Amino acid sequence: MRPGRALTGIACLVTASALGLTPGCFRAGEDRALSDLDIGRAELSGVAAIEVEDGLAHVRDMTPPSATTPGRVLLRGAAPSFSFTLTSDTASDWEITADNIMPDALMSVLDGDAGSPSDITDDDIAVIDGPRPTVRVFRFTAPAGVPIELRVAPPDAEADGDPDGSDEPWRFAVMGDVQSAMPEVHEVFERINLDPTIRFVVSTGDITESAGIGEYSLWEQQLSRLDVPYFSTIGNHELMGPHQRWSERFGRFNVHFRFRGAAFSLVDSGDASVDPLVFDWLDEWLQAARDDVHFFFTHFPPIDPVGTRGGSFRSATEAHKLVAALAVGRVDVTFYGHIHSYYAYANAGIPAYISGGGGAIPERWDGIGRHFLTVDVVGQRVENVAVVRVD
Amino acid sequence: MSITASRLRCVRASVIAATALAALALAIGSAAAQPAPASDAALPTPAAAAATSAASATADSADTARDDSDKAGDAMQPGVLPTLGALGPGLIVRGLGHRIGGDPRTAKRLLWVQLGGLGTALVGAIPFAATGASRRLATPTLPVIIAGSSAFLLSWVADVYGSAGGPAIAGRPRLTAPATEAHAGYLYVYDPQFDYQHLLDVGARAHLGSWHLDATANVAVGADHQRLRASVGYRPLGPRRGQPGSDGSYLEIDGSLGLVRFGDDGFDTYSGELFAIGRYDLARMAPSLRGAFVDLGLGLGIQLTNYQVGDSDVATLLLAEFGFGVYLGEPGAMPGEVRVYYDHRRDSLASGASGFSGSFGVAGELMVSGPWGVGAQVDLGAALVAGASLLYTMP
Repeated sequence: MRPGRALTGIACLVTASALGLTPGCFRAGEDRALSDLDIGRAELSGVAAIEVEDGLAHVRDMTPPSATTPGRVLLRGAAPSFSFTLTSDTASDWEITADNIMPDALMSVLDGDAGSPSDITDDDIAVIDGPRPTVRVFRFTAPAGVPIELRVAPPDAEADGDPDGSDEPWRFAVMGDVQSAMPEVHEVFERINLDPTIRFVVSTGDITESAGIGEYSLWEQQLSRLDVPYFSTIGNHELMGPHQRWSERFGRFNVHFRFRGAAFSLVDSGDASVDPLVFDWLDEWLQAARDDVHFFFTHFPPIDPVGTRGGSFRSATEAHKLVAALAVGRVDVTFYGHIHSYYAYANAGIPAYISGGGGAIPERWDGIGRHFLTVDVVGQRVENVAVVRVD
Repeated sequence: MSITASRLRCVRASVIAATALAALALAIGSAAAQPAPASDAALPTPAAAAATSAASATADSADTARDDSDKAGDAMQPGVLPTLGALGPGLIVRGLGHRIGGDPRTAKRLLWVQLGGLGTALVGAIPFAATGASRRLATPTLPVIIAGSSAFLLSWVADVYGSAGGPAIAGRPRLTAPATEAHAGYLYVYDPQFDYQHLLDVGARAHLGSWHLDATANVAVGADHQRLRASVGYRPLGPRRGQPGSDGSYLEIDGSLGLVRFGDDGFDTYSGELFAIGRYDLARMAPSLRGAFVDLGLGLGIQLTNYQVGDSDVATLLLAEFGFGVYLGEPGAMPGEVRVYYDHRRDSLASGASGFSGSFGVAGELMVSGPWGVGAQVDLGAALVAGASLLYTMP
């Protein structure tokens, strides 16, 4: 056979192989979605196991008890409140350090799965303040072999929004796109700290510039200067390194939680797309919160308000599909990042905000600069979305 | 550092695809290095000459000019070494393949095209990046970036093509436009976001002098999804109905209306677009590039999205496309072409490959028997699109 023909044959074969492999490229977020399912679970074989409901807190560390020291669990909250089940094979002391929690959060005992009360009560849980407002340590003695269901939440987490708006107003902040400005992000946090009505911050991602380990370490140092918890999904810059660097520290990429009757959905669009598995979850979240105030967060704007720029989903058709689903699900407000400016517009009639003012290279001539948003909620009503300038 | 399974699959696919292209180029280069048979397919044949008699005067003059330029480019000796040079270091410095092959004049031209493309791209990219992708600069700078990038990238493909002896397998362009063209085919779509997978693809184009009318329809089987498109175009330069061109180069301006229905997903889109595309036969640049062409198209569109629940939205679209192609066969003797391209739009079946790019594809057509032909395409973006069609051309 002539070498030319042989090489042509090889070219055809490898092309066919490449085409066969490419479908794996179309779901770049699948691995992250699947990894979400494992968040909040840890087990020390023959000693204890812990499982956080819906992965709303990440088990960063778990060590067994000894004769002189309690078993220790380090949880990082991804929502204002979360519940978990701890099963200790022997009666032993446990110390739960809860990080990134609401400053007024407490731990309480819920009924077990079987419907019978656990052996411990709220009074049996000792509370120790942590080194900063968002950290607390809870100590208790777990009974042997009995799953105990515990909850970490502020007292008003379950307050239902009153449809007539007579509820107490409350506020959260939204920000995104810190990236290369991480060394100065404490200035944004200090501005947030000045407003005591802000209960927590929700981020649309792009916290790091290149997802380096050093960046994540610096980020955790900077977070320690924020007096309220910080809940976030990822942006495309978090995918410049292994995505496990995120999940090992902060847990889930896709999060859905409720606070005071309002629903919050944080969705991973780090690849400028939402994985179909996450779309399925989102459908459930939308259905469940159809009659409630519902906030949606993701990094990429599905549709860039400056269409020719295309700072948006990689598929315009997928973007329209997402917006259509949000409209059917009666989402009240959507928040995006990625574009380092501030835009207020609407998609399918849903108010949409882009807030990429965390400090990353800013869009020029927009008159905005570093900023974050505050969102005021009264009952089942979004009262106001405001821009707070930092500089 | 760990890497995820899906990314690993993508990396593997990319490496394999790159290997395939390199192997193909080397295959052609290897064949070109063999002693050439007396009847070079790229040279005019009696059959081809007869087939082009309709445009004899123009075509003959073009052939004469081409033969003259062939003599000027005799220095180029394609083969494996020039191909390797173009594939490897030529990726950095354009024209190395031609330089190794003994054609410094074309090498220099390709280098200038590369530098010109890079400079043009930077003229757009620097202010765009420096202003943090300012909304004021997006529309004027992005077309400049894409146009510059096209020259930067296509000069590399041209160097590989010439170094591998591409003209040995290339054909000649059709020099006139037929009265009508029609196609009917099938499109397979793998898009994890949507249910549709199988689409019927039909379309027709009628040429009237410098004008043409075009209509296409893609209808999903087993899903509520349809794409309809109608356009009118004007070709002031190049082969037209009743006005033969000197080669395949042309300039065309199209205005089109599109309707896409996503009945299963709760929205429809309506678009109006204005698009200009130019094709340039590379034989004009160098004999070693005979049979190949490049093209670049730019345009703007406006799109209305009508949601079944909620208000409608209006958005602007940046339309941009560039490609590299090779003519196949001879006019009247299995003519056709194959083209690799980049399409910047994000609302096609393939959509974009990333948050800042469009899709990549390869498409080809070959008239196999009289007015009948076959076509095929593969597009890769957020989705995979593969299609095949039957073509009919009325001269």
